[in-house]
Amino acid sequence: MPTETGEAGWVSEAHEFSMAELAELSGLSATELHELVEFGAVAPLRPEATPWVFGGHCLVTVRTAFRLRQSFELEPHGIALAMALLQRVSDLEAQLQHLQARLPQPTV
Amino acid sequence: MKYKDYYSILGVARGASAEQIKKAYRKLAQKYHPDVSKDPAGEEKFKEVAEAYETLKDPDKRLAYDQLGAHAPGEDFRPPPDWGNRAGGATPDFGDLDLGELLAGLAASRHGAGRAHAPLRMPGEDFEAKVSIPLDAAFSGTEVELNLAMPEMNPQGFVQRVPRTLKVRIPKGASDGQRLRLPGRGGKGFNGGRDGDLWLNIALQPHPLFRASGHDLFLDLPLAPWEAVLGATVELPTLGGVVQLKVPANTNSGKQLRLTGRGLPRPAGGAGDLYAIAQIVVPAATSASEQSLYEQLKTGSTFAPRARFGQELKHAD
Repeated sequence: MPTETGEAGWVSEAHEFSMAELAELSGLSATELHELVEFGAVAPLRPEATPWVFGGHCLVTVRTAFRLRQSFELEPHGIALAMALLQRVSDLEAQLQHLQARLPQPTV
Repeated sequence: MKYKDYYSILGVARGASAEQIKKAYRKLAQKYHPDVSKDPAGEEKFKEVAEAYETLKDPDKRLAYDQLGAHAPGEDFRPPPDWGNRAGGATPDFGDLDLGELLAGLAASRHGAGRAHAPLRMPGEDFEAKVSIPLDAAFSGTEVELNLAMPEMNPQGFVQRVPRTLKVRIPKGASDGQRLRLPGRGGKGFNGGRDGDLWLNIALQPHPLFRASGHDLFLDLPLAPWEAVLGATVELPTLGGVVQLKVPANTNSGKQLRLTGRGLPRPAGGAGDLYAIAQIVVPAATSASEQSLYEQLKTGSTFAPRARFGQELKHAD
């Protein structure tokens, strides 16, 4: 079996995506992306400046949005609501992990 | 070709209505969807469920599937003669084709049949892989080997999963839950569509000494009672090697001693901090001479560790 090698890159705010790039990479339409911005599920770097430019992390968000739309047949408002709740869960998990990390382990 | 029982995967009868199939799928999707579920087997389970629904929700695909007859799940079978043509596409060489890919391929060729325009551009599939790495690997960067089943078009024009091995260099800077993207390393695009991306979802393995929170690390620092009172310089392990840590006099249990920049490196440069959490520990057994020293302390000290109890009770009265 042939083995290929690849260099992985972190998804960071240093990468910027245009609306068209984000639509192509996520599978969502420009109209759906507009609605997701309107419902606050995803935010352009400078909302007042058009055309909109999105930070790298938005790609992770819109891919999740696409998966939710595909799997649950949700419309943009439903997607935005589901994503807001998922974000809350993930924030709470991070908080829990932080507290657990600070908790001394019992000594033997 | 291996048979898959899409009806039993969704938990419905073979004669189930479209509405019953949709309901069963939604219930299972909610339970196993990787964005929603914490079930470690959820992702695999969801793929099965989604594949079953993809076939059974489409009346043409469902009919083609039903024409294959009922077999035991996993049973090696061959579709009836002329099945591909009846199902609306070319008869493929079944070989070791995947049933789901085959049904998707037949539907695609059926939709494309008789049309004059150029074949549809199809972007390649994005892949997600969970990669669990030790903390030391996140600190210094590492290389992992991934075994993936990539969709590729066979000479008959059917998509077939082909095993591929990919070595991926993970740069330092990982934290738990972080994502890495390898553009164009997912499935190949068809008819000029872009190649998909490969996404790595990083999980950090637990370490016997360090606990990670983001890029910060936490470590318990056991101290003898006299080290906590008098202060001490102790050797402290870090992921970058042992360092000398000055413990100030009168250090209480729970106090966090911060070592700036000794945590996990960040992707954009810099690093998190390492926190040593002081823990005063008492020896499991003490000799007679040690006991007598403690006795001397007991009689000679005016320390009242629970003085606050009395004060608070007075306030409450």
